[in-house]
Amino acid sequence: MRERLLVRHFLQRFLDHDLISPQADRRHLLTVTGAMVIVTTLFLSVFISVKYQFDIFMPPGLTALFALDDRFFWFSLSTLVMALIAVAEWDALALDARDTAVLGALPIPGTAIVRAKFIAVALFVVGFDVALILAPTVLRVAALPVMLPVTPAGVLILAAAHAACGLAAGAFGFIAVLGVRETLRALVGLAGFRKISAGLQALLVVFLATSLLLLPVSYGAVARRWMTSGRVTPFAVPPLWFVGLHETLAGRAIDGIPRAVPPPRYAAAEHQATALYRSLWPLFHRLAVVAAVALVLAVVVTAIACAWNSRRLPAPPSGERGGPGRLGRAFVWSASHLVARDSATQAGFFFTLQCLARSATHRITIATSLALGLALVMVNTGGIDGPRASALSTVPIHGLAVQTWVLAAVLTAFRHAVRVPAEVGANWTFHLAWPGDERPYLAGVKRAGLLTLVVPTLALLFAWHTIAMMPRVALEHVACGAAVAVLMMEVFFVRYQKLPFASGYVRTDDLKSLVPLYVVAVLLLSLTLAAFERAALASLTGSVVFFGALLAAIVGVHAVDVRRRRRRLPIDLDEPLGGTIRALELVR
Amino acid sequence: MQALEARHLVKRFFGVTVVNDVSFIVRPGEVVGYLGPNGSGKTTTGRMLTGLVDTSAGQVHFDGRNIADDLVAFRRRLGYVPEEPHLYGFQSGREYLELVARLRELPRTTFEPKIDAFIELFGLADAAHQSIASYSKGMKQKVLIIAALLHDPDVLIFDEPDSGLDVTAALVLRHLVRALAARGKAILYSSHVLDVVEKLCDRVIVLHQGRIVADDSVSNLRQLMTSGSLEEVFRQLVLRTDPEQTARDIVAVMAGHA
Repeated sequence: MRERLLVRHFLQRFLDHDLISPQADRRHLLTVTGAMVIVTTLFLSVFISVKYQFDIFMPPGLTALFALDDRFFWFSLSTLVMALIAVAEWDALALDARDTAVLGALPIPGTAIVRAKFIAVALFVVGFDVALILAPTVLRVAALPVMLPVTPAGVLILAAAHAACGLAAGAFGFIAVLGVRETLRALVGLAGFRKISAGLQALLVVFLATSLLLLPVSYGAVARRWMTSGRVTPFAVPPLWFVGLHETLAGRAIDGIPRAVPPPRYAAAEHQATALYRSLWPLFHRLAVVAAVALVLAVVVTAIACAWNSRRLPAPPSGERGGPGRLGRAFVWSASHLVARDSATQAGFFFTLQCLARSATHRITIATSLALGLALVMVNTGGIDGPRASALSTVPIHGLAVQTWVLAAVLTAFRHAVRVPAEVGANWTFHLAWPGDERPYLAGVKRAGLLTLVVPTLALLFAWHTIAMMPRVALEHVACGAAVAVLMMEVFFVRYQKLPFASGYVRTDDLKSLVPLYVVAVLLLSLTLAAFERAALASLTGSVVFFGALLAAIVGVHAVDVRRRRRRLPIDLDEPLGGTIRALELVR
Repeated sequence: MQALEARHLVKRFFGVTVVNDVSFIVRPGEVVGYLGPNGSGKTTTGRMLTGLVDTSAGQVHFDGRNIADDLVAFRRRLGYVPEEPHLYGFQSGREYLELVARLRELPRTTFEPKIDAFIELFGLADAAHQSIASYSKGMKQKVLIIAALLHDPDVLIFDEPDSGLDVTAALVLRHLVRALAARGKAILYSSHVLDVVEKLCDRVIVLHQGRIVADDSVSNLRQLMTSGSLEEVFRQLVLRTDPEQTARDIVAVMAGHA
């Protein structure tokens, strides 16, 4: 009974989470998350089965080969989503100081607490993993051509193999992250881990989210691209291990179907597909062994690391952070004298830096946008083969537009991050000390965003551009990016009447309709801008006109904002009332 | 006159009146004690006086003007120590104080030495660069007190400022409040520690169920109620149950004899 209560307590911790759902309703969160996972996978299952339903005479060899792509997609999805969930839960994955405070005073043996935590983590993994693989498993039969003579036993084997391998892939993703976390913590100690934890979490978010975003463009022609090309060894791609395992368990269900004479249009392709698929059998077996060994190894290492770290309940943080070092003091001095000279601007500047670096919610928002930017860059890397461009006129428009997409992703995330209060309970600090003029504070916030997000992004983009362009051309393009970033920053804060990081936040109700519109607008504008840039920077006069126009736009937007703020409209400090509160008439 | 005046303050939350027709004046150089049991409306009054919570009716005046006419100007002259030490856990104590000083537009040359000195005097020097998340309640309370004093305000509202403070810090705070009053600051001091209020305050306001049930000097209240101490006065004015009997009942429940 006591252990069951403890398990329930730890399961609730996964939902009452500082990062995901501070002060959220647990049932609501669980319902929304569960529905989102099931509906998304249901949609993807139906979408993937369409090609089989429109090609009902597809023969076994081709079906087996296409099915490899599907399995790779599903197992990659399971691995990445479960790994991202583990990263999102991060501190809730292990016992922490809060558990010590809540449970440490109670007469409960430490082993019971640790066991309950293990069970809770296991239940959480299984619950999410099952939700992820449910739809594709149930609809596995729909991903088979109607005229393919698969026996009912064969269908069952295919579904069971998909379920088993999907669960294993998801579990591997989750356990791998947990294992990395716990092993590092065991190696560097709790105090050392607290120092690197935030950075590691952000790094994993960037890596995993980038991989997830790249999945739709990378999962086609798995056999040729990943297994036989020789460019990437399949043993370096974990989802392929589980594809190998799946084929070892259930590959015969399709490949073993007696070959009839295929329709003439399929004959050659079917012959090649069958030969290719059967040539991969030895690789499937080896990948299956790797999958099994890797999963067992991950479980064992993680269990040992968790057990080692759970020898005693963790102590609360001792606050070992010293004062800023010489470099830190030099940065503060330079920023105070060069970037933000007056007090209110400094307040905005330094508080923005602190929020972006130390608040988990803000850090993850920015890391996710960086992942999106990185994915966009990688998708476009395919278009820059060949000699380096000596003029912008020879660079494809989408190759130029990608810079604006990345900047838009980063600055949109920044614009969203400033809406989210750093700590709702502490907003009163701003209410009381607010100087009454938002302009200097906002200027500090914008400068911090440009300095910490835009400058490093442009530096990375410049390095990437120099692969495809001559340095002079890359520099011209990055200069254009810098001007566009400043313009975007000005546009994003026009008419902004809230207090960055300190006003109440209510989610935009019509986000579902606004986001697609916004994405389309960014795509169109960035492609138009790239076309103008390519045409204008071909000559000196064009360059002067182009940069002059951008400068005029920046000055114009800034002037509009300054003029509007002269009227001294009241800043929105209070938490606005949500739709539900208004609907229920819970208004004073 | 730089007095803080509450005029017929009323606060209702979803139809429930928690502060009902509360009026009083806190004059410069005066320390006014604000007493009442839990839920009597002390904190809500404090928050209305700072403008953090809107009034349902009534007004707050400072220096003869309604604070709602220029809230920012009033808050420039206000120092407030709230009951709950909600701070930014990811900042260090020093960073929080710098943020407050910068928001209050104090020049760097002024606030840096002030913060250094305050941190030293309040015994926070060793923890100044640690994250607030690792602070004890008393340390957070010290940070709040420093933040309220940084800009040398004319009016101070303390909402249970001694909660969590160690004995030394509580003694320092008591002397500090008297010293501030001697410098002409108007001070409203809300506390549950009756001994402290009795020794510290020139006048005491007792609140019960959102209404003022007494507003007088401690000595007058004692005479009026023919009581020996403020505790006795409080007991007669506010308490509806016998504390000793309640304590005995609690022990009985604990021992399973209820």
